[in-house]
Amino acid sequence: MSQASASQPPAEGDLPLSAAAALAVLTEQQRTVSRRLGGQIWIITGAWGIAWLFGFLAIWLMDSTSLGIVVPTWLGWTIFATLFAAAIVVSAVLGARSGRGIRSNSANAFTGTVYGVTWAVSMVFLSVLGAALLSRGMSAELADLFYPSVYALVVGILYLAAAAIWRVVEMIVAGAFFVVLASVAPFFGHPTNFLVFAVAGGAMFFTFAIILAVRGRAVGSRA
Amino acid sequence: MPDLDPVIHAQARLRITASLAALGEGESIAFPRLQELLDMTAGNLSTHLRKLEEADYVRVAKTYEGRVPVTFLELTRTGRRAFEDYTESLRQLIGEGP
Repeated sequence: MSQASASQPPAEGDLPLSAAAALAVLTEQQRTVSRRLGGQIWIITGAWGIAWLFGFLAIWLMDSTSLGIVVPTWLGWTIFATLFAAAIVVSAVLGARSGRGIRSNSANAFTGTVYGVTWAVSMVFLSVLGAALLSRGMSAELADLFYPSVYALVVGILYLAAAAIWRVVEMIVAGAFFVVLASVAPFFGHPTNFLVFAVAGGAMFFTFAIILAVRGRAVGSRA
Repeated sequence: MPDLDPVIHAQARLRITASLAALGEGESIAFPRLQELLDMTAGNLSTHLRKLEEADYVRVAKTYEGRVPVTFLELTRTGRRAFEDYTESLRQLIGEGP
């Protein structure tokens, strides 16, 4: 048992600490580090939630009359593209900021680079696949079912890959969710599938954003 | 009663070691970023890093980013193990451990 659980940590430097004070210092410092290095992930996740919810909602409203609002095609695609571009920018900027001054060894750097490039390459080639199918007679209506689903399928599979590489259990939930969502959404038909992506995908990202923010807040208040 | 490692068991070095241990294995951190996370003066941080380096707990790698020299720091395997042992000893001392 510690004789010194009530003692205060010394101000600075070389002074020895009681075991309890040392453990407090240690825990505090590790919380500070993880907050500063990863504390903004909830904002990135939230940005993707906004992109999915309002982006897919805008596309749904181009073709659905359920709400009595008709969004012009040009406006729908503009909203969609702007929100997704904004989410990419937010991810890149905050990611780079939190990783400032952190360097990986070559093995980790290789994993990170291959994973990152896989995202970009997958997104390009799923467009190529879609174009190929369109050129062989896929209807516009079928394309509206195909594109968002194949996109969500790739997202889900890459989340599962991230879960496996970096051993993040929550990512299994997110990955599996998007794989299932991608596969099930076409059953709702066009344009309802876009509404399904907006609501279910948006809700998934917002849930994660809230969990991450609450976790960060809990860490922050103790710091 | 386990003995506490005197290299780690001092506020400044404990905070440095804890910060480096919070990074993933194979990750290193630039000196100015570490200084920022610790809110220590450069001189004070250097002094304590030297002691950790002498004990072979910390690896110091000097490199260049463009023409600017940058020092990267990481825990060695010995350092990481020493930190784990130290944490375990603390928990035992305050009665949390096995």
